[in-house]
This record gives sequence, structure tokens and C-alpha cells, in this order.
Amino acid sequence: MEHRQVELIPVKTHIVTKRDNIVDVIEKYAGPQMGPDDVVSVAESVVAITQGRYRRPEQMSPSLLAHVLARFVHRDSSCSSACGMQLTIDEGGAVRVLVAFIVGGITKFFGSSGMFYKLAGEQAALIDDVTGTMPPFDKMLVMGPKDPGGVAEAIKARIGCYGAAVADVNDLKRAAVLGVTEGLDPSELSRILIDNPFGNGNQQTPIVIIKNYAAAAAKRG
Amino acid sequence: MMMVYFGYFLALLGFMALVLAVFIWRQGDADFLFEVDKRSQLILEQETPTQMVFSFNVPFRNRGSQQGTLMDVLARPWLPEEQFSAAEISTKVVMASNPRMDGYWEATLFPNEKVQHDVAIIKLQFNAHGGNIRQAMDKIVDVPLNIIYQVVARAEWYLAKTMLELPLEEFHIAMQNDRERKLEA
Repeated sequence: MEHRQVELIPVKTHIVTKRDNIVDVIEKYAGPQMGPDDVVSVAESVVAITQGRYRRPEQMSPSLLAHVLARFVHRDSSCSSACGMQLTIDEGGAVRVLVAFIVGGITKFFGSSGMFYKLAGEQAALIDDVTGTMPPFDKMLVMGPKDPGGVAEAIKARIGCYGAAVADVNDLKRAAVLGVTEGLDPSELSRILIDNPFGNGNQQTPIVIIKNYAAAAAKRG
Repeated sequence: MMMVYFGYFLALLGFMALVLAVFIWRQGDADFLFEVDKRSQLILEQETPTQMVFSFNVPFRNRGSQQGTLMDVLARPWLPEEQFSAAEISTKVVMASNPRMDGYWEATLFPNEKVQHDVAIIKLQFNAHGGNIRQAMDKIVDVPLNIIYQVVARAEWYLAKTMLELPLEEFHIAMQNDRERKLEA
């Protein structure tokens, strides 16, 4: 698909909290601009926040295992703090995380990095440590969303658009699409969103409308 | 024989625990320092008939061996009404590199470099009880002030504090300087 043919429209919202329903939020702010050829994408952290999937460090009591494993993780990782590692253990299970840690350490010794995040469960790579999200969630650890595919389907059903996606995008040219509606190609969406049209958190644009997606796909296909 | 192997196993576990403890000790953690001895002098920023706002700066840095997050910073004066009842004092701490006017300290990650990282701007607002702030501030005393900060780094989060004292003479000098500035203008 030619990316020139689609138009990306960031949509500003209020500060979304766990009191919001993400489908209602998208309908309110993006709905009036959406057409049947459009795809709507939403930032995964915002979906997680509406699901209440965040914790304050003050609410947590990291285990000895979390304290020890966190010491061996690269300092820029969200798992490098005891609380971040504890959240990974809570989500993935202690045995799984320990096995991932051991295997990850061995493979790293032989020059292959990133195995820990592949084995410890998808949440290990999705957790945002404190400072990872805009205020007031800058003081919280935010997990990845539950059932992103189901969320995308619920959005599409309500809005009546061509498709929907839940994406994890940052300024470091990393775009991972966690959940999409049936028929959408996650890797194609990742390429479209690679320049982070969501902007940074303070811009409060957690929704991006991909206008004319279906028409561009048809033209190409 | 079984007991011997069990003994070896326990010794191995003990050795591993020791190695781990040494590794963690050597790795260290973030350690924030508010350099109150390098703070600036008080200035009178704003004045109305009933209110004065003073401010001063305190540089701070992470002198530890790991990067760390300053989750929150607040200034807490110890000024009981038994000692000073002429005005009510409230405080606000603002990060110079990210000045927010709402009093909210945005959690910020600081690297572990042995240099000055940022400056905390501490604002003290006095609201006169009797309505006249000049008369109220004539009765000002030395103000002990705690800078309380919350840190999240490799280890579990913790609160720490640094104390300083704002001498009453500094308040008078700040008011005098403000008067002279206004006269010159």
C-alpha cells in the first residue's frame, strides 16, 4: 500500500482514566471524522489505563526474586526496577520469568539479546515504568492492555469503520500492533504508524485516524 | 554420603548468595542530593496587600551509581502558630527544566552523572491573617524547611528529606531589595 494515499489524523482527547470506556472515547472524539474506508488506531497504554491496568509503586511489595532479577536487566528497561520486574512476574508467573531470565542470560552470552522479553510473556515488553506515561500516570507503572484484538473489534462494531487497531508506538521508530480487526495486516499498520503520529503523551492525541485506508488498499490490491 | 553432598549444595548456595550480594552492593543505586549549601538567596517575587510570594533555588543531582526517578518533591515548613501566627504559609516546588505552574512535580528520570542536573525552585506564599502582609512579615522568624523527595530506582521506592533554614534576616533583605527595585523603577 502506498502510504502517501492514506492520511493520518491525530485526535486529541481529555485525560482518559479508568472511569472511561475506550470505545466511548473513540466514538466521541474520532467518530464524527470517521468514514467507512477509515481505520482507527489507539495507543495501547490508553487502552490499558481504561482497563485499570496500572499500579503505583507504593501499592507494591516486590519479592526477593524481583529485587534480584531487576539488578541484571539493562537500566533503560522497565524491568530494571524492582517494581517493574514484580509486575512482569505478576503477569507472566515467577517460574516463567525465572526460566526466561536464565535462558535470556545464556543466549545473551552467545550474542543474541531480547530472548528474556520473548519468553517472559508479552507483558514484559509492554510495561511502562514510572515516567513512561503522561501525567497523572507518570507516577504509575502501566501494563499492556488485555485482549487488544477484542478491543479493536468492539471499536469497529461501534464506529462502523473499516477497521481498528491497538498499537504500541514510540519515537524510536518502534511500532508494534498488538491487536487488529479481522482482515487488517498488523505489519502494514506498523509501517504506516512508524513515525509515531500519536506524538508524545503531553500532546494528548492517543487516537490516530488512518483516512482512506480501504480505498488505498483496494487501489493497491 | 548424602549429607556430604547436601553440605556441598548448601555451601554452593551460600557462595552464590554471597556473590549476588557483592554484585548488588557494587552496582549500587541512585542517590539524590539537594545541595542546600548552594541555594540562592530569597527573592520577593510577588506582593499584594495581603500576600507575598518568596522564592529561592536549590540545585540537585543524582550522585549515585544508577539512574533514578524523582517521583515527587515537596517543601514542608516547620512553622507552628505558637511561633508565627501572623500569616499562613504554603509552598510549591517547581523543576527549573520543566516549570509547571500547577504545583505538580512530574516524575522525571535522572542519569547518574556527577554533575549538577537540575534546579528546584521553591516558592513560599504567605497570606496575612490580619489582612496586611507587610505588618505580618515584620513578625517573621527563622523558617526551618524540609525538602522531602520520593525516589524510585533499582531498589524499592523510598522517601528522604533534606533540611535547611531560612533566616528571618533574609526575608527582610528580600523585602528591602524589592522596595528599592520598585523605587528605582
